[in-house]
Amino acid sequence: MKNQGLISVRFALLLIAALATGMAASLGADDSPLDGFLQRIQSADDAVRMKARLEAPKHGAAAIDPLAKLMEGANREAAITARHALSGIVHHAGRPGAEAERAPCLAALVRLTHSSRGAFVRREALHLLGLIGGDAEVDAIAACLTESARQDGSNVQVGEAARLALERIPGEVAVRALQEAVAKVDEKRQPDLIFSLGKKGDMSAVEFLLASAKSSNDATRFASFQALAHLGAEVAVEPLRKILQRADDPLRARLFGEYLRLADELLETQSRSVPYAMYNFALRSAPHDYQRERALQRLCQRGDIASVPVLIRGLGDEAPRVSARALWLLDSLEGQAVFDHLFRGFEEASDAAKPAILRALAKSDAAASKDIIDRATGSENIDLKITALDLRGRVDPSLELLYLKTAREGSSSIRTAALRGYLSLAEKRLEDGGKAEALQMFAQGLQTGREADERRRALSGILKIGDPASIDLLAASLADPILSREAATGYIAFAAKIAETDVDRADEYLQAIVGGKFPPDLVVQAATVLRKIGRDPRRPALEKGFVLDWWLIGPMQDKGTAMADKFFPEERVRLKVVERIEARRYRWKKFERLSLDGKVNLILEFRRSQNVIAYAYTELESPIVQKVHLRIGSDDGVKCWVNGAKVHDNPGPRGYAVDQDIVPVDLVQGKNRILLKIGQGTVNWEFSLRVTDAAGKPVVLPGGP
Amino acid sequence: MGAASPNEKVITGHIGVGGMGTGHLNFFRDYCGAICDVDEAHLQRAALRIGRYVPLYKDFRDLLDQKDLDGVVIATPDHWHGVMAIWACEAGKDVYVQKPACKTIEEGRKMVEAAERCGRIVQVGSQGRSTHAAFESAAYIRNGMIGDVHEVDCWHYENPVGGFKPDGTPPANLDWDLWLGPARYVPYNPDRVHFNFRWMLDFGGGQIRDRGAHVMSVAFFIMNADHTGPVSVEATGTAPEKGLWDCPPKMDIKYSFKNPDWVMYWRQPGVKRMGRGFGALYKGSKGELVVGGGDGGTFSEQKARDFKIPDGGFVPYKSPGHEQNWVDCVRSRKKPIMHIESGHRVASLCILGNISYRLGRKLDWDPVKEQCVGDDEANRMLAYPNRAPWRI
Repeated sequence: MKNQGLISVRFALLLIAALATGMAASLGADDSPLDGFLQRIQSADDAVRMKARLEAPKHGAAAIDPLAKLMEGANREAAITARHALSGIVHHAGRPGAEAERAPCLAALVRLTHSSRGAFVRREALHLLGLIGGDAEVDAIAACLTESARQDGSNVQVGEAARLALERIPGEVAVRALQEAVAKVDEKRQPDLIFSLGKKGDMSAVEFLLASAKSSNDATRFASFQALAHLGAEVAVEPLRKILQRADDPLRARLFGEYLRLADELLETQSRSVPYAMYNFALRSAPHDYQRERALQRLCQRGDIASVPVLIRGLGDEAPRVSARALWLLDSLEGQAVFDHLFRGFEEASDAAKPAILRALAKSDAAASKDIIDRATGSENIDLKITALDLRGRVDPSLELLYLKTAREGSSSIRTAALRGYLSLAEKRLEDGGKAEALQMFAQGLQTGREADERRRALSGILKIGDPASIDLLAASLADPILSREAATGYIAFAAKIAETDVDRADEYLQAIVGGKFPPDLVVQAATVLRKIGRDPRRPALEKGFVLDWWLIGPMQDKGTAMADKFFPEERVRLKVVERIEARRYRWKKFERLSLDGKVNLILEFRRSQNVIAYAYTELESPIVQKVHLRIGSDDGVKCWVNGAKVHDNPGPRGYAVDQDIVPVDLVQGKNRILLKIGQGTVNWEFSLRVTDAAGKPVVLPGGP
Repeated sequence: MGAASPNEKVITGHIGVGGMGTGHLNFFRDYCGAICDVDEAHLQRAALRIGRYVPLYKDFRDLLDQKDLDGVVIATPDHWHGVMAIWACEAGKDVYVQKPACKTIEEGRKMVEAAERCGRIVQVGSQGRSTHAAFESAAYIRNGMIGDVHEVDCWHYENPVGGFKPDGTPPANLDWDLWLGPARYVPYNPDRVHFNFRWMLDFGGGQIRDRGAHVMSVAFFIMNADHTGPVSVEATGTAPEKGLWDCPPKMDIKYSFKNPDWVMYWRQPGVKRMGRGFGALYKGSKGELVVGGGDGGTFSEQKARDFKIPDGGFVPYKSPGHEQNWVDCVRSRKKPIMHIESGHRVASLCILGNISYRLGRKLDWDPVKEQCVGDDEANRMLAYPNRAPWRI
């Protein structure tokens, strides 16, 4: 409490000093060139403003407050120039050897951080204080950090700017201010302050961080260890290890990352013993495979023969990425000694580790390991037997079910070999003419495969068999990031075969492709099959009332008034006639592109895509006189005529969305002529029109001509 | 899988699918296993481009949680590169990060450390090095054809002037807070996004960070300077007279190197050569060589194209293409052509040039300690504390 009181008094004195400096500056303004400078900063003449900005440093601290006022003013260019001028003054005062100039500037900046100032100016002042401020400014900055959040949230980013400034200002005073602020801010912000303490690299914060690492708040606890790891604080090793030994700690996985960081930091500053013990612990116990892989790499430098025993341990890791990395590191080692190490390791290893070591032996010296592999093909240890057979490129048909069981339930290091064996058996079965059994096996393989290559091999088998009755087996692979294309291609082919006997069922399958997120060429392929079997791929859009039978003409250049100007389609629509505007000829063209969402993309129709307009025309056949709603979406503006009468005008610009404008219109019985004019500034250019009743229910009308 | 073998397919997650990110999808279409962007419109457009199902994310932390991804391709605005690359390394992913590698010196050094400590392959997207022209030029110069190089004169056309729109409300498809991420808070303005970020010193840092990171990457490749930096940096420039964009349209920077002694100039606009908008002239004791461009479009002079490397001569790193080089290295675990140490050293040039310009003074630089000598303010600008919760 006593300290806090002292800090408050110091802060008050600082503010008085700062205010006095500002007042003096203001009092002297009439007699100085400052007024003229400030006038020029606000000039409408760009060159005058620029010149003033460059002379800002010579006005020094006196200009800071009035420039800050301009930064918040309505004159945008003046505000931008003022901000640059202010930065110029601060950078000039921050130059080496300019301590005398810096002090009044700092005082003026401190004054700008006061809560009576606007958030923008406060943030800017804090940022600049972070660049040139020192111990004397810390209290004022800390005050911004700890002020209560305002209801409108305007000072939240000010508080954050204050934290960042304190992170930048070197020295114990800033460290202490951050520590003191931790208790004053709400719980949510504490972890960020604690992390800043770690970033400052000041070991005086270690004791405080060790205490906060005991917090019951997980975010605070994590940030404390994170800060200690950044600092490379060896005293944090044991408390961290104790937590990591508790399997139920919710932070365990993330803290292992910090444990490794701490080990890395310690490795930079001291002997290997402590960090190596930490890496060894992580290799045994870290929950994520990439953390164990990282520990393995830190322990085993490539080419270091002494690391073989650790690598053998890595080979036994159940995660493929760890054993693969161990194998890669072993790859850099050559010679009889390595083989001997592995050989001994194989003999002494647990059953679980043996398959990976056998693989390493084969890689180390294929000829020398031949006998041991051959022996392993007869092993009782199924994982080892599968691995040995795999290394020999053989499969054992009597193990069919064990292959599948191991591929599903075995350790991850053996699953791949087991599935490889199982799929080889399936392929063999297919070669021997057992289509049905092979299909069953490929289906199991597709379901079991965890790696893309495995699933692809199984899928290829299903596609090779080519039985349309197996189409449902492909469904899951449609959403497989790696296989979806192959699966969708097969799906379409199978559906086309199904259509020979059951059009409705084929329609259902093909619509799934047409309406799904597939590449345009596949969608077109599915739509083509749909058309061949007499089904309209646009059906979902048509059923929603979208009009898709359009004739289009354009683009006409827009020099700023085209949406208001009257071009020939507004006077006459002659679909077969070549029209002219000066030398340029225009022809109506039928919109034939496949639109599944009801939208017409005009960029694809007319390549020219900037500052133009185009027209779209259709005829709707209404069986009765009726009132309907035309629901129009467009990018950019749109005009609409029904039977020659203008019914809607939205000049834009805007981005496209369905049903942006709802236009009630009367339709006559029989043919109704609809004309749209769609504007285009830049980027997207598209439109849609949907016909509904007043309640929004689609009204499906045949279009034409 | 992480440690992919030559036979295994590399699966990539793509963070940032605007202009550059979409370009990457052309190469990575078959590798892509996830896409992430803070702009829903970008996300949907990229998903269409991939043309098959892939998980879509707005928050890259969710993408990093996806276990089957071997690597991430980061093509966000610069201020995100460091956080994303470091967190990706810590999540066990290899990284292809667009250039410039980093926004600050501190961030770049941490990226190098993260790659090394986590054992990850990190390639920076200065693809000029992977062009045949860069190979030919490096072979020509490193085999002594123009003698000892004492000067590299880089040129580039000016930065644009603009940013006249007022601040506003971000569109519904864009998460502005996530777009800003670690950068210090500023209100939304359409002239800050998307590629417009490039024209503000606090965000993109101008052409020097964009094309400079290409031209100077090729220069460091040719000069064998990836492991070091200049001993002094002196920048001058003319600030734009109006608008929000504050990168100087015109700029001149002199970088001085020691052991060996040589200088490099970055000049905007400088003297245009080979009809190219940017490039570099290499001046040696026995002659000169112009290398036009520096990005995907890099061009060497005929004499370099005709040059045959003599037996026993220096053979530069030959890349099969920048993205392919990264994929190959993910499989082989070898160092890519523009690994993060090189990327950091090249980005350091851009960063120091801009700091010198902003401060209006020459910087004396210690390339070993990576500190300015005797300039506290400049040293504080070498790091840029991140907004919460983007800790590195």
